Amino acid sequence: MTANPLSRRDFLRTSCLAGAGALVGSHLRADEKKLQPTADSVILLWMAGGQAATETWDMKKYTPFEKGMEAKAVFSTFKAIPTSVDGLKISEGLPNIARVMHHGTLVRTFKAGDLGFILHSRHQYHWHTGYVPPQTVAAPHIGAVIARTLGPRHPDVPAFIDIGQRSAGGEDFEVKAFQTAGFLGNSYGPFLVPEPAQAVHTVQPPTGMSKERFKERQELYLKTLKARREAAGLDPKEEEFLKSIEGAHRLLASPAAKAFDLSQEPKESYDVYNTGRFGLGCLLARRLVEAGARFIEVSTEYVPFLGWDTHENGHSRLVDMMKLIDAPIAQLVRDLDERKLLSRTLVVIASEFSRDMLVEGKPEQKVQDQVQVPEKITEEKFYGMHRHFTGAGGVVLFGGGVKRGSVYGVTADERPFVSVKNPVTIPDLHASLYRTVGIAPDLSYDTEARPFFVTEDGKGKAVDALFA
Amino acid sequence: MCRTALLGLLLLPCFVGTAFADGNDDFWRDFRARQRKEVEGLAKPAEPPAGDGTPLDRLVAATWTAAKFTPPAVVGDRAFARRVYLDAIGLPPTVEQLDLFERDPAADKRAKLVDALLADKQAFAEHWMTFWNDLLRNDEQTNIDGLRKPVTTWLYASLVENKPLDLLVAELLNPGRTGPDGYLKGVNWRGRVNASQIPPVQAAQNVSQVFLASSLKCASCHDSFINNYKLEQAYGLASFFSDKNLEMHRCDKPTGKVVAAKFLLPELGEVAADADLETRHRAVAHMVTRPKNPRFARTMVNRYWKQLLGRGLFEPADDFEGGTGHTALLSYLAYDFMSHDFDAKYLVRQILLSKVYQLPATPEKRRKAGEPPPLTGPVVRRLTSEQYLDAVAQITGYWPKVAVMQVTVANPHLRTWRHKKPDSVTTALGRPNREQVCTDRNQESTVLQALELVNGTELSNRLKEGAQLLLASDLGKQADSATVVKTLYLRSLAREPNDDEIKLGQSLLGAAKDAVAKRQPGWEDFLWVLVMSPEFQFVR
Repeated sequence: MTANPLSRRDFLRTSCLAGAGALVGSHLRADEKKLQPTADSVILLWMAGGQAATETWDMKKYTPFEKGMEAKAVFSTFKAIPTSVDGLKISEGLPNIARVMHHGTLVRTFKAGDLGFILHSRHQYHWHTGYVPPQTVAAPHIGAVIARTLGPRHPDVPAFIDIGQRSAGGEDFEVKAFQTAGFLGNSYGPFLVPEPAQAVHTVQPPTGMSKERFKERQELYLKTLKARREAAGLDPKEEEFLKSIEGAHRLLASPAAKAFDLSQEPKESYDVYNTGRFGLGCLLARRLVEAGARFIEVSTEYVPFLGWDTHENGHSRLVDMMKLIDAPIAQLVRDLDERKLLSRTLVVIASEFSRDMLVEGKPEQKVQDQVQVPEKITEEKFYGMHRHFTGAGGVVLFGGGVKRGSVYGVTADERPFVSVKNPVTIPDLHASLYRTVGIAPDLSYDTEARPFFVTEDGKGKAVDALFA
Repeated sequence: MCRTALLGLLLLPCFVGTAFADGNDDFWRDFRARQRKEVEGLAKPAEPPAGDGTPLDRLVAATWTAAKFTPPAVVGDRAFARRVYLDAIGLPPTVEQLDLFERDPAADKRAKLVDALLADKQAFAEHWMTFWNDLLRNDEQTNIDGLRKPVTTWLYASLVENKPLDLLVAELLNPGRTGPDGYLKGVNWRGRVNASQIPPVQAAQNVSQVFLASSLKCASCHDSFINNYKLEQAYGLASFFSDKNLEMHRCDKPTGKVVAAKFLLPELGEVAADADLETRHRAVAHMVTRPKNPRFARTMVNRYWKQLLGRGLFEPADDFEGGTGHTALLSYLAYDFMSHDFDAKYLVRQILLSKVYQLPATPEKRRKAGEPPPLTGPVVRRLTSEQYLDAVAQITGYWPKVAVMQVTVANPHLRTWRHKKPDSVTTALGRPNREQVCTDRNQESTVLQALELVNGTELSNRLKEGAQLLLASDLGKQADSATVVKTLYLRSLAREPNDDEIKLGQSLLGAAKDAVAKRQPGWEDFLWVLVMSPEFQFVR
């Protein structure tokens, strides 16, 4: 760093997308001792659309449906059940996960950003990159940052794999805007597997082409190239292109590629996971971690007004959504544990924000309502959490060096159900995730001659209490 | 090279900003006369040294002499044709076009070809839409709450008519009620926005980067630490795009200081502190594009040069503060460009017919800091996503039908730039999402991209459909498979195959007497081998 009257810490405090311009490449604070990673892989289980914490992880008073009940009288619409952790209760919709909670830490006080009038994809972008769009440079997904910083665990398994988001409907453009390595460049993923049941096709010859034909095509290609190379020689960029083709073929032929083939999974195991696309995504994630994947995201898939994005019928929809995630997530945790992989794999369950019956945004920073909530709940379709709530949300962390059987943060028991103790913001949550894999929150990569920090302005601070 | 040095290339007389008190009518009516008059008043650049060729060739030759570089012979007709077709209209030449050109006995046949390509208004415009869409962040993939607005129709019409670039940019900056106002509207997401990303600040960042090669991204949040720009300068420019002077925010915190509109080069003009938005737009449109602005023409000439040769005369092309380059040559070309009414096709013609453009392509080399980009010919360039997929479509005749951008184009072939939503192969090959300005497509080859080409459905489907069409065409009935191989080589690589290549190709194509269904897989595979060859993927 060049002569600057401010120390680096002060400098960071006074600047936004700022840092020391004289540094190049990626930067670690010199005075920081190297972080010891506690995880080699990360699986992010994405609850797309805003998962209501008070229906899942952070249960409030149970208020069953009664025709004509007051909206403000509705707290949790599900009962709480005990878990494998003494004193911790979660939703009755998650009985299998309740039995594995002793493997993890529940954070009740995730506080999403204050972005005004709610747009899911914008909060998702914020969660996945640490930055709020629009941005002057294309921000990388955290999976891409991890892929860039740590590289693949196994040379033939893409370092960043994204499962289950098909992005064919509304806000598809916005979702794709963060499903990217951004300025880091597309070497760092994501490798997209929109349909986990079809994952095997992503590592097989194109549809309709036999393996023999695929092999012959490649042989002929190489022979043709040889003819050309001898005649004219190749430019380094052309050589790089050929290397990429070789790399693709090596990956396709690798034994590791079998991980993509869910038909190789024993039927009884397959059936436990198979609650739908998300469940099979969890199975694929487990197989890929076994094969050597670095970062995997499995999404319940964001489609506006579907999935966790309940603008009506919140209660009945959540019955289905919890069925979708309960068995596969529990099985994923158990399988990783049995295979002795959980201690080095961080599993994260997260969502862009929570939901509430009444409050849109958060109490002190209300934003434009998007859902009409009647004062009296006369029909079941109004029974549920239909507004977007950013004051507190649930994040569950399993394995990877976090505390086992622990709960962090306290939320109010009366509405508004805000964080009252130990709120966790996105920079701090990311700093914590990065810490498990040994990445400092103020690591940065240069783009357009400026440092871009892996947590906003390098200011994220890992939450010590989360770690074992 | 520093900013003052570049400014010094043209000695600026003290100049009082032109007032357009009567509004937009005067501004547009007098636009060309005003620009011409101002060009006349500029100091003429030094005459290029004597010698053979155009003034441009002579200036380049002087750098060769200085660098003790002996240029090799220019590339042959076929290589030239492939290169120039892809660069001018974004498509490889057809067999017929190639043949006509080769057999043309005229001594100036290359000039004739370039002129013919530039005269193809539609094809030229369709190709250059990609470049301009990237620069302007013009895209039609999303529009939540009406927060964005594409300028596609205006842009396409502007390129078809070859609108002078000063006028084109002036219209973007001063759209009035009927112009391309989507540009200044910017890229917006619903909800609260950081002060450094409000539309007027976005406009300041993008106008300075794209048209003035000055980076204000850093300085729009706080005083820059990568160049000399101050936060106040960024807000000074941003205030031109706001109906009232903006309050300066430092790192998203209000400072209480209101900053009047002030151009980055204040000597180019000013605007009253209480001017209305239209007046501000007129003022900034004038100051950005006026010939006395030493940046605008140089920036645009450099961008076109970089498009055509793979690297700028000055690098980095986005930031003249921090780089180095062939400033005398750039100044000469900029003056020449301005003297020809900012005519992009004139500029492209000069470059395509220059000797340096026609030299064999060379590998890109890492340069030492302060070393100007070499002038030893073009670098080997990867086809853009759009060039590549259009070329695949042209050789097979299969143009996928997908949802399109909202612009009327009288072309039965749906070229890739018009695809509203890029599919996976288009994205993998580098079409950006246009949330940010893109002045330089990423050309790297990656395994993820290779997977898309090797076993992805999109390319595979295109080749399947393409092989079907080819088999149903006259080519499919051709009895001699060597002729088929030759034709497809010419179509895709603008050259004939050698004997080995013919034999290898024949081994895939099968015999004409065989059933189409039996031949189909081999034809698909042969097409794949062709479109996957580095020779096809790159412009050499």
